[in-house]
Amino acid sequence: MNETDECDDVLHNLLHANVDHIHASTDLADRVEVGARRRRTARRSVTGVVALVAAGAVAGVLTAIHPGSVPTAAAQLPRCAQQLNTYLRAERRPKPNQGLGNAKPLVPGTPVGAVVCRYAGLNELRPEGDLAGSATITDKAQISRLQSAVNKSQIFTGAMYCPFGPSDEAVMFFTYGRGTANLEVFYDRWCGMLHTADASYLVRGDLYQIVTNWTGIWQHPATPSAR
Amino acid sequence: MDEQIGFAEFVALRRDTWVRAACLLTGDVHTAEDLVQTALIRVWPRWKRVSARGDADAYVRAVLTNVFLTSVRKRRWREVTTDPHDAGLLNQAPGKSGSSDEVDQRLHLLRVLSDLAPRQRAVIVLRYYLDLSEAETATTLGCSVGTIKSQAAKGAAKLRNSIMAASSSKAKEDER
Repeated sequence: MNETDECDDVLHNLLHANVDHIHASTDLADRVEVGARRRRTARRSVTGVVALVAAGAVAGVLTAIHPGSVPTAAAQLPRCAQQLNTYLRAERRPKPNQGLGNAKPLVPGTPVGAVVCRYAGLNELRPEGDLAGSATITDKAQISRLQSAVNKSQIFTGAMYCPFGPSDEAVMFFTYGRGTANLEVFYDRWCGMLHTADASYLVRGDLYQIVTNWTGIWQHPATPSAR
Repeated sequence: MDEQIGFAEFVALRRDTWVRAACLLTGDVHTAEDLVQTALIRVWPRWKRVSARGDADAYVRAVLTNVFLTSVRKRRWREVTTDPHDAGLLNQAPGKSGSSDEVDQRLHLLRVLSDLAPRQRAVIVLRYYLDLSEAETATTLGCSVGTIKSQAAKGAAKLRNSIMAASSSKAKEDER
């Protein structure tokens, strides 16, 4: 045995002599198991949060890539009621002039979705007030077209007596995303008027064509020309 | 679960060795237990795979060394106990047997060991306490055998020189 080996042995013995009296806690394995389970739970929580954030990011990217489809808006779009009288219509009569003019658009901002519900009128095959057709719009171009047609309407400032109505009605919903209220617009086709909770409007533009193209035409024996 | 019963048994068999090795690395019993616990927490989720491979001890050794080196790298400050009865390994009774010279020698060794660079200290502990070969030590630390040879030689030389210097100064004092 050479000198180096002897020194190595001395070192080995010294190291052992210093620590061989030490004993680990008997509950070490239990503490390890508890710690490992906590660590796993924490990791899973973090993974869950990361997955949610990633899913949100992917949804955002998909929306950016396909601007026509808005899945988050579609998920919360309202459904058409089967009967027209299900809706709570707070105001069916034109309000007096409030000096608004057309300064404030009927459908403001940028809706992310729209639903058009058409209801049967008088003398149709379906009972009056039954849902006759509907369309759910998530394509940005189509939403914009509908919004533009609605916004061409002029606020109505006087009083009107409409001998035909109300009949042949449609209800339009505009949605603005999660957490915001839907805008409800009633379309009275015979009288050519739109009603919201705030005011009434005279229809201008091609709203009738849009509504009937998407939801079908009102089958009435005396169907007037398109308004 | 079988793999967890196996893990508990394995820990019961080897825990003293790991904690003692960790004591030599850290110089403190409590820090050593924490170190072993942290390492085993990392091993626990992989226990089934590790035990199936048949080299669980080597795996735990590698994790323990990595945890130690990482903790040293991350540590910007060090806790110093103010309790005179709890001053870590250096003030603990090293054993029932042994003369006062032996006790002094042991304490001196621990002080010198704690002065080595962490990686060098790990090499000394793996080579001279756990009796690993150079190749096994290289695998544990993830470096070449040449590096282990040089680190072990330098570390051991420092320890030898320091112990010899302490012994000669003690002899001179005794002569007076």
